Amino acid sequence: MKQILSHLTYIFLGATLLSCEKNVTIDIPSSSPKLVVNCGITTDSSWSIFVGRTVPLFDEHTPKYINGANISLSADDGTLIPLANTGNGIYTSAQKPLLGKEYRVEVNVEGFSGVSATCRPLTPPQVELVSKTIKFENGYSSTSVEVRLTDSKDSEDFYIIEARSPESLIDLNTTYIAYYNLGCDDLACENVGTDETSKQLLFRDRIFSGSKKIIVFTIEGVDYQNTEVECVIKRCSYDFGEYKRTLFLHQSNLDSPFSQPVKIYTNVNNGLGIFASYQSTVIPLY
Amino acid sequence: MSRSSLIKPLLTLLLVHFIAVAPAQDRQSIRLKNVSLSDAITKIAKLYHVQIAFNTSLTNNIKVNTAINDKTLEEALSTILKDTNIQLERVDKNAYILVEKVKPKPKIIPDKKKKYTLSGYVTQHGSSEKLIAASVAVMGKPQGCITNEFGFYSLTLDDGEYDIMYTYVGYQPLVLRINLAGNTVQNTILKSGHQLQEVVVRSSKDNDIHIRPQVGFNSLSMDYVKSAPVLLGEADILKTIQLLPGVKAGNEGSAGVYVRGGSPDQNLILLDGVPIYNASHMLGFFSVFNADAINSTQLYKGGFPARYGERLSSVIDVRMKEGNMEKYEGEIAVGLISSKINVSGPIFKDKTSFILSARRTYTDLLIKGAILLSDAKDDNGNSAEMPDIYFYDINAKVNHKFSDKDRLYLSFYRGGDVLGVTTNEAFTNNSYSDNARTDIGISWGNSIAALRWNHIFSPKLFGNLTATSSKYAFKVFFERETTTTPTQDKVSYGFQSLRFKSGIDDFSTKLDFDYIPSTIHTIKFGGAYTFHTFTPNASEIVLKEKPDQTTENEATYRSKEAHEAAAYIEDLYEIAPKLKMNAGLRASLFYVDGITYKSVEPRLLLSYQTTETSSLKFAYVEMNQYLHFLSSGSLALPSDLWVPTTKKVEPQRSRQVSLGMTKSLGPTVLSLEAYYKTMNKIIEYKDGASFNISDTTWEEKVVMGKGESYGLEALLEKKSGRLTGWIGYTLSWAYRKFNEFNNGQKYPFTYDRRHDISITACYKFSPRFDIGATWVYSTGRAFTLANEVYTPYTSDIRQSSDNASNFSNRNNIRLPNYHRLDLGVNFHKKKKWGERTWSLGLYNAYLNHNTFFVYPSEGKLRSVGLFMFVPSLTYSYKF
Repeated sequence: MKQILSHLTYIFLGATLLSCEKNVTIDIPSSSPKLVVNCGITTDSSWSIFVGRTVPLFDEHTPKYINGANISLSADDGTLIPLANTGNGIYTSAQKPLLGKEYRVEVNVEGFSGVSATCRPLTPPQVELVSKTIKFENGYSSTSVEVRLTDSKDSEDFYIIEARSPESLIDLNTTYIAYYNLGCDDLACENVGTDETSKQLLFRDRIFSGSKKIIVFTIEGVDYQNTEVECVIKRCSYDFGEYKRTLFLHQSNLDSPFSQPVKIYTNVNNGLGIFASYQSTVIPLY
Repeated sequence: MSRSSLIKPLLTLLLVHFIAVAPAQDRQSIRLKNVSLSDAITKIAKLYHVQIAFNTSLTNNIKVNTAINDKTLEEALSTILKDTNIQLERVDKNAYILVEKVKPKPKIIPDKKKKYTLSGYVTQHGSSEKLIAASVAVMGKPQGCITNEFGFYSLTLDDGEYDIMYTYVGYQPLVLRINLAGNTVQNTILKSGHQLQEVVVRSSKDNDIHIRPQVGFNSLSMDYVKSAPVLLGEADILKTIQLLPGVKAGNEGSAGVYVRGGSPDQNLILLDGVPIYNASHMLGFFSVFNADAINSTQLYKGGFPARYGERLSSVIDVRMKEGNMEKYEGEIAVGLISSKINVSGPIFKDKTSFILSARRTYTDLLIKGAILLSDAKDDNGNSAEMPDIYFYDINAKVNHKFSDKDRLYLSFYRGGDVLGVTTNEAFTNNSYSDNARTDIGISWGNSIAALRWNHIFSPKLFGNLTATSSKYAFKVFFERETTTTPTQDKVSYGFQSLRFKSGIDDFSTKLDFDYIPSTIHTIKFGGAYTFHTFTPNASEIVLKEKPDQTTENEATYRSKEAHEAAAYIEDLYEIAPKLKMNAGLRASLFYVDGITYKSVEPRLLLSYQTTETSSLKFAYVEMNQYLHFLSSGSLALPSDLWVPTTKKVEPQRSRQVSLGMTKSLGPTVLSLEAYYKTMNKIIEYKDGASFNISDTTWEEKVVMGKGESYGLEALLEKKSGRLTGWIGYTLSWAYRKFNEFNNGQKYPFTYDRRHDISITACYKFSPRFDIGATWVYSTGRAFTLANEVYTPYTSDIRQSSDNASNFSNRNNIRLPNYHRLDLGVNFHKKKKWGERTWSLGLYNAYLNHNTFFVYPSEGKLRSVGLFMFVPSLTYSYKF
C-alpha cells in the first residue's frame, strides 16, 4: 500500500510539472564572420598568438583557426617582432614581451575586416604567504592557505589565484600541469562556486584598492606525499581580468533560460578575443 | 484533435450566443396562486430567463391569483400587472424594469433652480460589501456618476423628483424614486444577479462606458476570475489580467504582467491602496492575491488619472472585501496543491465586520509524504533530503462604521514563499564518526498593513486618510554544522553560516478627497508621503570552531533611505453633454543622497459620445518612477533587486498617447485602442554584470536606456448573461535601446509579441453547472541565441576549452508561436448548510508543446516546454 501511495504521489507531481523536449526549427540570423585574436602576455613567456575566426552555430566543418594570416606585432618604439605560423592558428616568436613597452598587434585576412589591439606588460603582484594548514576530513585532504596581497592604488587590477602541481609525469613522453579545485568564502571573490571556474579564483581590487588584502582559500584533494604543490598569484590588467570574468560568467550562464547570454569582453578592435597582460608570482607550498 | 477543430466550436458558441433570440419570446405556462406580485415577478423572471428590476414597495402588497397559459413574457407580465399602476419597460434584450404608470416629470421651477445633493453608499445585499464603480444614473437624463473605491457616490441635481437607477454588472438593477427636496443620503443595496441565476441588465441608458473619459481601462469581475480555467485550479487575478489586450504574459505559467511594452516593475500593484513589491509566488507561477478575499480589480494601462502615479506602465488596483456586516459566511476549498479558507461576518451587526482569508500550498507535504512512504535512503543509509517548498497568504480586514459619515478600515496582508532543504549526513568508521547538518534555502514575502478612515464632510465632499506600511524581503541562507568525533581525541566542530537579505520597507500616509460641486464637475485631489528604506544587499557570515564560540560576524549592511512626496488634482468635467474631460496634474519629488528630483506629470483624458452607443476617446499621460528593478532573468530570483533612484541613476519617465473608440453591439461592447509610448532612463545590468554580495555599489553595474512601444488593441467583451467573456487581440511592437548594447541600435524587447489573441468564455448552463474555456495565441517571444562560436583564450591555465559563443544582436531570434487551450467545469449543489462546488480543470488541453527556452545540442535546436498537460481538481464549500 505504501508503495502504491508513493508511486501515485510521484505520478501526480510528474503530471503536474511535466516538461518535455523536442527539436525545433528556428531561423537563426547569419552574421559576417569575425577574426579572433587570443594572447595572454607575460614577460615570463615568449610570444604566442592565436588567430582564429568565428563560425556559424552548427557549422562543424569550418576550422576555427586561421593559418597564413597577415599578422604584425610591434612595440611602441617601432620594433617589429617577427612571428612564425606553427599551425592551428598559432603564431610564435622566441622573443619575450618586455616591461615598459606597449605592444600592438594587427591582423588582416582576406574576406575579414582587419583587427588590432594593444597592451602593456605588468609588474608581478606583491604577495606573501601568511600560513598553510593541511586538514584531513572524511578521508580527503584540504589545505587552507592564507596569502597577503599588496595592491597598487594606481591601477584597477584583477588577481587570479591558482594551485598546481608542476610537471607531473603521466607517461614517459608527456608532462602536464595539474590544477586543483579551489574554494573560497571571501566576499571579494568574483567567481567561486562553479565547476567551470573553481580552478581559478578571480578577485577585483574594488574593495581593497591601494591596501593590503588577506585572502584565505582552500585547495582540495592534493596527494601531498607524491607531488609538489605551488600557488600561483597573477596580477591581471583590467582587460585581461574583465575578459576572464565575463568568460567565467559566460560559461556558468551557458544555455540558462533565466538570464541573458553574457557577451565575453574583448579589447580587439573589430574582432573578438583578448590581447592583454598578466604577470605571475609563484609560491611553493609543499 | 487538430487546433482548428477545437477553436471553431468555441468561436461558434460565442457568436451564436451573441445573435441568439431572446428567450422572452418563448411561450410558457405557470400557475400563480395567491402569491405576492413580487414573488410572481420573480417566478416569471426565472421561467423566461430574463432580468426584471422593480421596486418592491410597489409590489409587495399586491396579491396575484391567476394562471398563465402559453404566453410570451410580455403577455404574462401584462396579465399580472393588469389592475395595477405599474407598467413594463424593456431596457435590454433580456432585461425589463417595472415602473409606476403615472410618472411625474421632475418638477423644475425655472426661477428657483435650487440644487441638492444625493449621496450614499452602494452595497451588496446580504453582506453590505461595497460595490466599487457601480453606476448611478438619472433615468431619462444624461446625468449620473459611479461609486468611488469605497462605494460612495454623490450626485448634485436640481430639486425635483427623479427615478434613479443603480446598476452594477452581475447584479440586479434597482430603480428608486427620489424626491430631492434637500440634500439626501440614500444608501442603496443591490442584489446579486445569481439569485435569479439569470442575466443582468445592460441598459443603453446606463451604458456610461461611452460617457466616461476612460482609456486603457479594464474592470475585472471577481466572479469571472473565479470561473475562468487556470493553472492548477488556482483562481488568479494576474493571470486573468494577462488575457486582456495590451497585457502580455511572461514565461509559461508565470504571473508576470507586461503592459504595453513595459516591464513588471513598471506596474503599480495596489492591495487596498498599498503597493505590493513582489506579486509572485513560486517563482512567478502564482500571484499573491487570494481571489476569495478580493472585492474588485481595476487595471489602468493607458489613461491614468492624476491620482495614480509612481510607475510607468500600469496600475492594478485590487480592493479587498470588507467582511459581511449582516451574517457569518465562509468558504473552504481543497485543491490538489493548496487549500484555502475564507471567513467573514459581523463583530457587531451593521457596525463592525471582519474578514479572514488564508491559503497554503502543500507541495512540500506531498513530497515529504512520498519520501517517507518510499523510505528513500542514500548510499550511506542517510534519509533522503526533506525539501520545504510552499507558499502561504493571510488576508485580514476589520471594518467599523462609527456613523453614516465615518468608517474605519484596518487591513493586513502577509504572504511568503519558502524554498529550502535540510540534509543530515552521518558517517562512522572505526576511527571516527562524522555528523553534518546543512540548511539551504531562500524565502521571500510581502507584509502590508493599512489603516484608513473615511469621512463624509458633506454630501459633496468625501475624504479618506490612509496610513500604510509595506515591507518586502528576499532572504537567502546557507548554514552548515559539522561535528567529527574521533574515538580517542577531542571532538572537532565547525559551523558556517551565510545570510543574505534584500528588501524594501515603506511607511506612507495619504490623504484623498472627492469633491463634487455640481453635476458637471467631479474633483479629486490629495497628497501622499512615503518614507522608503531600500536594502538592496545585506549579508552576514558567521564562522565558528566551537559551539559556544562568540565570533565577530563579517557583516555588510547597506541601506539607503529616501523620501517621496506627491500631490495631485484632477477634474472630471462635463464640457458639453457629449464631451467629457478628465484633466489632472500630479507633482512629485524624491529626496535621496542629498539631492531632490522633481517631476510634474500632466494627464488629459477626453471622451466624446458620438451616438448613444458609441464614443471616441483620447488620452495623453506622463508618468514618473523613482524606483528601479534590477532583474537578471525572467523568474523571481535572488538577483532581482528593488533599488532607488540615486545620484547616478535617474528616475524613469514615460509619455503615452492613446486613441480609442467604444461601440455597444447589443449585449457586447467593442473597444479599439491605439497607443504610442516612450520610456526613458530605464535600467539594465551591463553586459556580463550580475549581482554580487561584495559589490560596493550596484550603480556601477547598470546602464540607462530607452524603450518604445506602440500597438493596436481590440476587445469584444460580454459581461452579462449566461455567456460571459471576451475576445482580445493586440498588434504591438516593443523595443529597447541602450548605447552599451547591440552597438547602440534598438532591439526587440524580450516580450515583444507581434500578435496576441485571447478568447475566454464562461457559460452557465444552469445554476448547477457551468463551463469555462480559454484559448490564447501569441507570437513567440524574442530570445537571444548565440549564432556563432569561436575559440576562447584559456592558455594561461594550459587547458583546452570548449567553444565560446557570440551573438550578433540581443533578442535575435523568435521562439515558436505560443498557443494553449484551458478548460474548466464547475458543478454546484445546494446543501443543507450552504453550497458545494466541484471544479475540474485542464491546462493546455490539447497538449501543445510551448517552448519555454531553446538550446543548441548536437547540431540542432532543442526546445524545452513546461506544463504539457495539467489537470486540476478542487472541492469548495460555501456556507
